[in-house]
Amino acid sequence: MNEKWKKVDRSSMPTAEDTRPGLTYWQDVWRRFRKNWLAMAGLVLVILIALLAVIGPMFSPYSYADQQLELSNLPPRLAITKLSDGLYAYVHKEFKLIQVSEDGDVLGPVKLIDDDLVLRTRTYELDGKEIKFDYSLANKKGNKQKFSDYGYNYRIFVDGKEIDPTPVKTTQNKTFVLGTDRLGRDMWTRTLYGARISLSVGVVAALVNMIIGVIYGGIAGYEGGMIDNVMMRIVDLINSIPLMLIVILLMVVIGKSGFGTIIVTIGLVYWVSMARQVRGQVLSLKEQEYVLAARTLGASKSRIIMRHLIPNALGPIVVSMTMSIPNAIFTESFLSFVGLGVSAPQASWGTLANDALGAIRSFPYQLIIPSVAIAITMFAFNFVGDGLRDALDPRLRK
Amino acid sequence: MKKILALVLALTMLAALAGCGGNGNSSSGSAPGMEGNQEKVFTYNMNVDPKTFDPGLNAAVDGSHVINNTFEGLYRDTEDGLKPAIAESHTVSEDGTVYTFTLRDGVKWSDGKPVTAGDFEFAWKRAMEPITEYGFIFAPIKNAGRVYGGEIGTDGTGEDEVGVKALDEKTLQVTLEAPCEYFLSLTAFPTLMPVRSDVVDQDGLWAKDPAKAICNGPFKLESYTMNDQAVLVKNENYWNAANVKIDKIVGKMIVEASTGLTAFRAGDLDLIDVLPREEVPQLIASGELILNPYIGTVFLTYNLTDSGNAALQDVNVRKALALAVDRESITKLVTRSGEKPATGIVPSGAFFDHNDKDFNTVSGDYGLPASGDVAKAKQLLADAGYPNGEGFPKLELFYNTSDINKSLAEAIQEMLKTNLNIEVELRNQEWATYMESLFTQNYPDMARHSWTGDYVDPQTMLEIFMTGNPLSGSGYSNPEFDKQMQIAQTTVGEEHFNALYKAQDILMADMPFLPLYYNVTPMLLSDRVEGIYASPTGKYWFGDMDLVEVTE
Repeated sequence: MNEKWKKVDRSSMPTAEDTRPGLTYWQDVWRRFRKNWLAMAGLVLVILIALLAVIGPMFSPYSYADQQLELSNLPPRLAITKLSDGLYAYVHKEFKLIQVSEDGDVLGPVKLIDDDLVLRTRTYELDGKEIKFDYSLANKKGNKQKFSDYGYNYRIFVDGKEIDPTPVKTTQNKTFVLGTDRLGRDMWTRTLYGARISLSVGVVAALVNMIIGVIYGGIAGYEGGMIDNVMMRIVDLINSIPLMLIVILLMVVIGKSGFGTIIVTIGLVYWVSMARQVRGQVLSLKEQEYVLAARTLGASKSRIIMRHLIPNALGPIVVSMTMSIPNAIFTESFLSFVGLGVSAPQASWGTLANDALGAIRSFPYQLIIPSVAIAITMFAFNFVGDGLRDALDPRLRK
Repeated sequence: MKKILALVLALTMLAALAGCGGNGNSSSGSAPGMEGNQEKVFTYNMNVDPKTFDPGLNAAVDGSHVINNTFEGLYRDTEDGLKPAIAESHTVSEDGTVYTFTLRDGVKWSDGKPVTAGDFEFAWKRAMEPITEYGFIFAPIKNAGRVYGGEIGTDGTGEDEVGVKALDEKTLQVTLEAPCEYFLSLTAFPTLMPVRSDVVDQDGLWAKDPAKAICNGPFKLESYTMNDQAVLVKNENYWNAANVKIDKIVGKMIVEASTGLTAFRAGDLDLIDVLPREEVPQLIASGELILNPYIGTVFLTYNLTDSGNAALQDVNVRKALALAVDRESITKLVTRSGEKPATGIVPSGAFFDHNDKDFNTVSGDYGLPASGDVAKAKQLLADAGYPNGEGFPKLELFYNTSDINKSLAEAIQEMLKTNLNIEVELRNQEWATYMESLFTQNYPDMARHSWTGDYVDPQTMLEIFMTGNPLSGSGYSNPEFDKQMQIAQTTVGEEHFNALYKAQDILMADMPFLPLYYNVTPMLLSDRVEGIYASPTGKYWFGDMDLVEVTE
């Protein structure tokens, strides 16, 4: 007997499980999804937007409808002019003074004691000082634009002495982080509130897709023949009517435009493409042996569809669902933008953009904010959708 | 074979190139020659698609702008005051009740047929029928009020004869109920402009059809495209055509104010009068914006018919709503074009009574401070049975689509919510649909309304509230008010104004509307326009206008 060889105990040997732990399908998907940094960034953004939409407005001291008419159209960044020691003001584009602190807190409008429209001067009183705001240089009629010695088309006199209106610094607006709109409403609160509406629309679209689209497509695909034919022609019918027309018709039926109308419209229309996709998947899957086996064992139609076919088609379903969310959000924004959306004072990103349109020359930030919000959300959802598609596709498996 | 094909192709392309070059040359060659008699085209924004261009049926200012330039009445309101137009002269009887107009020689319709006194008789009788919205304006004319009220027809004789009669082709005799101070200025009003009996139809569709729209003003309709534009060209058959300097007027129908401003800045429009509110303060500061005096009031009207909200039938509720609105903030911070807070229906600074005192100042503010009175409003609402707005139904506020009206509606919505705890929902409609809804009380609660005076007498502001006048928008009716108005309509001087003061007292006690502000018309005008006239009753007159070269 050779001493060099010895029989080992089988239990101490590494098993297949030890070398490589088995991965379920979804674990595998998640592993691949995680590697896609763009998709992960999208996912983080989506969660962040959702969190902000849900809890953000709670932390704001203003509601989306609170108006402060004196503080309308304040930008997110304030150029602060020093009036005298300890007294600072923001010179509004509409030639009026707003009192601010050195750090960028909006303290409120300065008390106006005289407004001379002919001489184009406004006299304010602040802290016992008389502040005269002269914007007569802004008068362009008949001659070229004139400027004061400091290079501005207005002049400020504190107690009769002209001061240098050049801003001492430009700082973040601390009271209204994203500024205010034309009625003095906080843009930050309104944007967050808009996110609520947009995300709710997205969620509703996803749910409708999930429930109606999947079941409808599953039945059509599995039954085939005449039933399939009729069901899919109905889908074609719905698909052939333009979305705008459906919304307008619904508004006539319901009697007004609003959040409800948009939800109903999206519910009516958005499951159509999902139904088509599921039907296609089911058509090919139902020829598989395991379906035959299930049928042989006497499984009911609904059980075969729900337990065997749909889970196997889940990949494309999830991708299509994720992709439909940004579509729905965009549709809502578009409808609100053209005036068919939520009614005032509710704000969605579309209505915010529409409201800002009149002020696009003087206060472009009012349009930029909701546009950026729409863009970021669309990107985030699309990245997640793209990432999911790649992760769910077994052919891309490395 | 291939070579031939290639040759043919090459030749075709060459010919095409040559063709292009030729076209380019010819157009650039003819341009300098054109300069001498270049077409003068004036473009302005009508803001909406006017409901009609039919003088007898129009009830809106946007329609008046067009009608005032395509038609012409007996007299015309110009920068230098009232001037004879189709009429050459007129005589008034001793007692001031019979006017006899003599028509100018050679006045023609745009198709060359002569304008006759009969055309006026036909047009006036047509426009005073009860189906029109503006028939009440004929009230000073004998029996016209009864025709408008549906009592008698226009073909009555004897006692029922309507006081307008064509004595012959050139003479029009008008008999009034009583002497009327403003009657002559009425003859310049669009509703009193003549129309031709052989072209008109009942719905006014003819006036938007260039083939049928025969008119007698300095311009005629060349084309009309729904929701796009209306083009007017010079009417060569106009009696004073030699003095009309503009060849063509294009009225655009741009609803969005900021789009209008962009077009103006790009030089595509010569005149805009609706501006994005955000730009107004800077345009006023820069002196570019012209603010025209204007006799108009913007207010909210309530549906006071049976279809309206029961809560609003209570006068205390209406007063509470009126007191809860801060008009000062609205004019200073929302509309911002120099409007004045309204405390009644008659604007200040435009109407003076027999003592030459401002009608508005004499009548006072009726306990409606410009900045509102929230405490009193709450008290009134509690008295009406809704303490702190509890149990008060949700109101719907209607407005016609525009960004200004939206801001206004949102501000009012918030004021009623904070001050009275009343929920308001906003709803908007396009202008033409909106007018229909407003004048037929086809709205549940409140609607934005603005009324522009037709002549310079406070009566023009008050008479829309007379029973049966659809233009009040509310369906308001009070026999006491009607009585005072009827006295005012048939009297002059002190008696006239006393009746009007009393009428306004009754009206303000009933408060069938919520006054907001007295209007101004802002106007951005390109430098090349000269001689345009915007009357205080809000009508443009383009007939004396010219376009000049602007040198930098």
